[in-house]
Amino acid sequence: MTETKKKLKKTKDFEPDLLVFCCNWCSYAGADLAGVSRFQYPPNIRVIRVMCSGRIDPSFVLKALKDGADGVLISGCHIGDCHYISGNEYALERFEKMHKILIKQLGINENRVRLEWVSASEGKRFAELITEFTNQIKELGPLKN
Amino acid sequence: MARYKIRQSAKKNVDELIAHKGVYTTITEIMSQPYINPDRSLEWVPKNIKIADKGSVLYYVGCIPYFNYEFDKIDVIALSTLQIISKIEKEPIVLFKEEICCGHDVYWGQGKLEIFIELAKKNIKMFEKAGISTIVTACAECYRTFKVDYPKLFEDFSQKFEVKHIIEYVYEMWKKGKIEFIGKNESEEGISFTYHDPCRLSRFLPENNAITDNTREIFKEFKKLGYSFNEMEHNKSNSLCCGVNSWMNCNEKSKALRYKRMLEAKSAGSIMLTSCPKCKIHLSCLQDDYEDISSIEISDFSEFLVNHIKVIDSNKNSEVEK
Amino acid sequence: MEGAVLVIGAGIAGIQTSLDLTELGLKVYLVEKTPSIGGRMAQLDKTFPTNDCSLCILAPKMVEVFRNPNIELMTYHEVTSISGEAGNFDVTVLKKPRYVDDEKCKGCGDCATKCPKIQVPNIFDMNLGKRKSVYIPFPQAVPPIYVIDPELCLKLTKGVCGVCEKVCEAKAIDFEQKPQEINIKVGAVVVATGFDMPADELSPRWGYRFQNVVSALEYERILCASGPFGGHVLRLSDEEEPENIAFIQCAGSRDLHEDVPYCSSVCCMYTAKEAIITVEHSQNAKCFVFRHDIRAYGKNFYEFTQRAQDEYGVKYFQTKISTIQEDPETNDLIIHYEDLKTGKFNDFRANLVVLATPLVPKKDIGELATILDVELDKYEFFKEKSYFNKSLSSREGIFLCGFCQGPMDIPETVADASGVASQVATLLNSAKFTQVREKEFDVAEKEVKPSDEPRIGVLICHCGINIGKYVDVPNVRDYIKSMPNVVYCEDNLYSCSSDSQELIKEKIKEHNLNRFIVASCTPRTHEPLFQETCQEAGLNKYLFEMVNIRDQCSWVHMTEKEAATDKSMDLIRMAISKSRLIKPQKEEKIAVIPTALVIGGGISGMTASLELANQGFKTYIIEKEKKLGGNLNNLNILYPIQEDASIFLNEIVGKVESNNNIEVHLESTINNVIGYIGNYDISINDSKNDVLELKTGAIIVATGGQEFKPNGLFQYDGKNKQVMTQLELEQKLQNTDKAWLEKLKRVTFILCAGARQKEGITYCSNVCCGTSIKNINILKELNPNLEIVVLYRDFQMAKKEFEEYYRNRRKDAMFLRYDLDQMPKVTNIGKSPEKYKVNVFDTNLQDNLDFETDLIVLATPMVPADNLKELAMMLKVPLDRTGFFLEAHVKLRPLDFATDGIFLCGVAQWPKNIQDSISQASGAAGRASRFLSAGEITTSGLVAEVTQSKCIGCGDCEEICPYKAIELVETTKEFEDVSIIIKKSSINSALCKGCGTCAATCPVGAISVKHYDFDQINAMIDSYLLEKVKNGGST
Ligand code: FES
Repeated sequence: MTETKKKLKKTKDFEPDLLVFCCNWCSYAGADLAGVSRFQYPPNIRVIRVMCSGRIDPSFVLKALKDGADGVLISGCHIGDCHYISGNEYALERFEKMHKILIKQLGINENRVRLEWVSASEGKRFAELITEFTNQIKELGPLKN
Repeated sequence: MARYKIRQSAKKNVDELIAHKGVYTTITEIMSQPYINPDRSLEWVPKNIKIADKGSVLYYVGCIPYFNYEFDKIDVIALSTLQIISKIEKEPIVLFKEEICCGHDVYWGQGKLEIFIELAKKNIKMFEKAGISTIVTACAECYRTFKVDYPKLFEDFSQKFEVKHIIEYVYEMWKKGKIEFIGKNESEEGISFTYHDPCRLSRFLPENNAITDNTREIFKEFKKLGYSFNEMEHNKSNSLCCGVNSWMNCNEKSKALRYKRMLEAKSAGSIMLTSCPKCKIHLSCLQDDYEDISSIEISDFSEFLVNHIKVIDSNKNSEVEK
Repeated sequence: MEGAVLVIGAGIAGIQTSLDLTELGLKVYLVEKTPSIGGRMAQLDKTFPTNDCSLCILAPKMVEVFRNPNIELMTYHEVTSISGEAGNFDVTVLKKPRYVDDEKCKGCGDCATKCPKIQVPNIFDMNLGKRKSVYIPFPQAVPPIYVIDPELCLKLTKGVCGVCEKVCEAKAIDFEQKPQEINIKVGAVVVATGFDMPADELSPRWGYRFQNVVSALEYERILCASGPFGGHVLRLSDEEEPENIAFIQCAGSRDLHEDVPYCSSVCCMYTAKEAIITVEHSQNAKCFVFRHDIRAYGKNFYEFTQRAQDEYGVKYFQTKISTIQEDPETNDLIIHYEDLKTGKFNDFRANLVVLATPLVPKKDIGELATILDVELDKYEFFKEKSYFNKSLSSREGIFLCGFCQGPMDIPETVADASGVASQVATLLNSAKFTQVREKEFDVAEKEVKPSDEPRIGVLICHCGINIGKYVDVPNVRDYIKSMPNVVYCEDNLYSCSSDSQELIKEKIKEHNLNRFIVASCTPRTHEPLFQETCQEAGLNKYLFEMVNIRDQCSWVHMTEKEAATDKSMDLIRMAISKSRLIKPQKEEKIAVIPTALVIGGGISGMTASLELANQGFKTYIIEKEKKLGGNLNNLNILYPIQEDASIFLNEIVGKVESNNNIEVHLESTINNVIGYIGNYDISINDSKNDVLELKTGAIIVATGGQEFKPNGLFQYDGKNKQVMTQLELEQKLQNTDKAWLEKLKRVTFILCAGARQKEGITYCSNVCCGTSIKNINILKELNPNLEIVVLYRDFQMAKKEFEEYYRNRRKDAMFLRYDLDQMPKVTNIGKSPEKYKVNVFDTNLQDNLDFETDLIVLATPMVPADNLKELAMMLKVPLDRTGFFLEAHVKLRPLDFATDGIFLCGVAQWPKNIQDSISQASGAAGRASRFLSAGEITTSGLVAEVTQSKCIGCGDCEEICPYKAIELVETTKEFEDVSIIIKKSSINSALCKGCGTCAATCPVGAISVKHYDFDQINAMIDSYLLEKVKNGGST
């Protein structure tokens, strides 16, 4: 098998383990709406629900990577929509720092750790986002590569 | 080797003891994985300094670039150290983009020996590949790890690599007559300063180690430049600890200890030098809490020395001798 | 007297009133004609001016209503008769047949999937989307119960089909249902029926009959991500993306020919919003707004319309529309219009036209008015009893709330709703807490210690076939059964049915379980149900965990059974790993001191105080001036009722002074405020400079505002007698000597003097236009020969009264329109008496005019009261950019601060007229009296907590806490040879909302968030990634 073929095969067979954090009020509701609307997406994610994206600690992301997650997605309400006024703004601030200083410098592809806002009415977007994220990670291959 | 066993036997979840929610020790663990190749930013390296990925002298930066996550401007230590070394060395200095952690914290803080060994192996491989013979570091913890702990695991480590703290390095160069200390302080009275010996550079080193004395000798020389060096009440191997190492949680007691340390510093001078990034972080952190000690300028050894070092032109020297 | 209230209409107005009423101790029957609550707000995509997702902020409230034990939700019901009087009404309500048993329906939707009936237009999507004949109006509908459309259903119309009955595993379909009459007894009625937006009733010139002309509400659905086009901006004729989109303002409003003489009040803003969202959605779209006046009177509104233009490139034209025609070939629209800036007639080609059609009373409002025996006004809105109390209908005991009384936007509606709740509570004061129930549990809670071995019970739901068909549930069950600490694990058909609740209770007892997990649908709707079941079995509700294997597994991986099964196993296993670590939590009760402090003794402060005092709460008014009344003291005549301000003022001051529950402190200021909701210690300095200590449970901020003095503008210097502000004119008119008026020949009013600028005061101050019209009319009446010139930019005449008020007085003056780019110039041309020359470019006539005038009146904006910064710091509440107080949420919490226990109303929040100030003041009183009435507050169990030993006192948490629930506490501590001050963070559980942001901010991990703690989340991560077994579900 040639190198490219090998890689292709790998991409095809590779089922990444993805962790998704959702805030209770918008993004989890968006995921619910994707369900109610039967929007299909790849089955690679596992969702952990927290009350607000402001709760999501960078240490969780690092732990997941350490444990072998191939990608982590943090999601919350759009800026301005946070149920707790400004939690998502802090989440964004922390995320950017973590991304730039920790994730990138560790040599981990930055697309493996993402932050996306999803509102309660964006069921479609949730499904599309997960599809796109999953495909992107499949493209990158396993982290343990 | 008993240290890690104490931690392991403590029954408690070792991760519980770690401060900063385990961020730094977790990245260390991530770095120990065979598939992780860090891509560290070298943005802080000045344009005029040539660096290389192969060569004989390595500047081992340590985890400072990650500390930027919470502690602004801590990379001034790395910058100053690199500037000092590259002033002296003719060849470009080796700097690894993919440098990983020495493993000190997981070993001392959590007793995770396996991860420590993984890191050591990975490090040694990297050193060998780059063909280096000398490792210079400005981090007290990295120093002790390479100097004492690696050789215990890998007997030939000390034969293959010479490990020097930047203090030793500067001291040797000075003694060899390769550098001199310059840059007179113009103020009338002279500036008094003191030095905080990091645990890893004093009592946690084998007794024959001369770093504490080297430091003092250098500082004495600074008298000529208008600085007067004063010892704190506790010094050298009898130093007070900054209260925290290996990202262990700090608490009231360690704060009290640090506060005492700062009072000692205050009565000894207006500048306090140290030579461990974590000591600097923790001592400066306390200054936010207590007004009365906030005036003391806390500076790393390299940061302080970088502007006071001049390379002696060997050609010129020999001419004068003639 | 009945302690229950009937609320008719369950839009945001009805929802908010109902929630507030229950907190005030009253039971609510919430009757809604349609199958779901939510009303118009549920249909909106975003809300202005923050562009919050409408449903995101509404849905939690809808769920709250659904879960509230004291709200009897009667959707798909209608009120048919009412008799009796205030305090004791007998009401008959008709329950319309859903043909679906609401006790049995689980909302799974199998019936709709299988319903063969061709799809029909969905009313919720403004007929743009499609639904079946058995349907749920929208996915988030509350209650989540299906309904059969009897006119479309084949079984009901032709007696064939009945497929739904066969596929419904819950046996909920019931074709035999008949309408049912229900009798209830209530003490008061609140009408909150909202508005309609019937575009098809417009005259043909607006072109609504063309496919690519839509009403604004239809456009909201088009924009919405869950709308008919999934949020893609498409036009109807060809489902292509339109490039040029024209928004037509006042398409029917303010138009006598269309029979809608008033201004609908919200169109300027939602149009700006829709244009902005359009540009955000599709890069190629260009938006053109054909506007009339811009009426952007609320907080950040005017700036929002400016942003639409400056940042989003939306083009605004000042126009009059003559007709809209279709180009039959392209289905584009040709708009014939007059450009009011150039006076020319033009044509504009648009691919899509959005009409800001009038918002009018509900079609059947007349019938309801007859049933209720209340009057309608001339526009057919419900008629208010008096202008200054718009909440009272013509019949005692029947209250009006929201748009059914007249145009208002969402925050005004919410404030109104709280105000109505307060007034209802005052009426039914003696019957409060007689008919509400607090859930009591007969089984004592069993103690669960952290050291106890976890004994976990797991129930996995098939949800009919909704989970069972796509996930191999038995396989999941067997896998979970084998997990450590799982003592009981079973699967069943519907875990949410009432027999399942009995089963759960039984199993908890039988196996002595100390944790319980249900794997079924979403915790957002069902967690409270299962938590209650656990409580009934003596298990602390925080020992329950829920796993969503329907919305996250079966419904989204319908063709991947194996993967969906694996995923279900993982998710349940993760929940188990968390469950082992969860702890029982206590909900503490904190006593509330039943008194209130009202800061400011103007109309808002006085109204709020009276409202509180009449509910029996001791209220202290702190006023910095020598007398009560605030700005009202300076006013002459009140518009639009043309009543003498002093009469109105004296009446209300009289009421305040004679009320035993009110204690007024004049010439007093606040020194210090400490404490938190329910328990404030307030120290004030009174007129004698004595220090007084007060203890109150709530604080209302009603500090009002003041008129801006435009020094240096238009020759104004505060001393010059012939250039004055409106307030100075009013003060002058209060004087009985009006001789000075006789000497005047021409008076010039300059509107927006110092307002709506590019810099400085950028906002529209809402009330100056109305005041000007009033003053013009007064001057004219006093001196009919006087010539009056008004220089204006836009007329702010929103709300149902003002368009007519303006129309009737238009003849009193000459109106010249100026533009911000070409400001009028005023030059002084002579001494004693001063005369001025005015130069203005009139954009209506496109001409430069010069004229002389003897008096210039400047309509300047309202600005905040002085020294608010100090007060804000003391109260720990924020000010906004313009210096007014900043409410907790501009849409849904207009009267609250983020910090519980402190409320705001009146001009302290934003410039507003007296009617709105009164409405807000009753609302603020209502919000405050919720706590005061209950006498205690219950803290949530889901709060953050500081591990003292780990805290390093850095204060980062204190800084970021949005609720100001965190404080640093200093203590001096002795160590061997030093003593130092140690700071520790401390979290007030009465204020904490449990968001957990502090925990993620804390650098050392000293803050734990109950139920979402570090060890719990870490355990889930480990469980997912390290305990993973790829055992491949079913085969
Ligand atoms: S609640 Fe969704 S981000 Fe804060």
